[in-house]
Amino acid sequence: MAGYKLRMRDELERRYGELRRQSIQLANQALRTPDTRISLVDGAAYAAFQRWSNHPNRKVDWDWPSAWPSWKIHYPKRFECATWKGDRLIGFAMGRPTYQATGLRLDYIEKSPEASEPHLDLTYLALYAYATLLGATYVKIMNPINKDVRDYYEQKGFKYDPGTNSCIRRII
Amino acid sequence: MSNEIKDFDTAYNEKLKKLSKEERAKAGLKKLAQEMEANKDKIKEPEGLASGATDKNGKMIIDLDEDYEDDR
Repeated sequence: MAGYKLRMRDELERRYGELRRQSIQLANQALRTPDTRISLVDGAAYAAFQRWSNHPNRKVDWDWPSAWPSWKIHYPKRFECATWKGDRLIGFAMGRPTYQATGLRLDYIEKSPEASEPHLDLTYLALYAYATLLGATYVKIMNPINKDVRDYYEQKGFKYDPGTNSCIRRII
Repeated sequence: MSNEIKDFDTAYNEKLKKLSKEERAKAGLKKLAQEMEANKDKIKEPEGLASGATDKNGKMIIDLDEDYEDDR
């Protein structure tokens, strides 16, 4: 049984890994901002994170490289992206589909305190692409960290839902 | 939002629904990228933007509960 579950997980990882790569590729193709790109999360992203991991102006003390392994193991259908300006990491994001995949959650997103580029806009391109390929009809950003961030999401077309403390945007 | 814009968006979304998922993603991304470019200086992103489950020490809380809220 354990072997079957492992094979099933590997198959999901392979299948959804393809969709993740495709969504990043589509988002990058649409992007018009020079020297800016979106990628999956890898060793280069972890290395670039070290530049601002101890920055005093960070609003959270998240250790992304430590958090990632359990997220990856639990969620083969996960969403993930890193955003870049040249070789500087703008930020990270990770999420997962809802149970029936009608929605795509963005569970964690953080922008470097040193970056001026729009991390949400870049992340949203990849999020939108992945959600569309999954057949989801909405995306939601979980647990905005403060009112400024929540207001920003609302200005960007999201609607705040106090019941789930999330900001939701329909994509079709 | 004016009725004209609503009508345009409704018509645009109806058009998208008829496409394959990949075609829909491409078309939607093209529109989003155009909007992003046009609005890049209009709304400033908050410094240190972050969202996610966090404990009182600012550490990440990994949420492994299923989300059954599918019927939006």
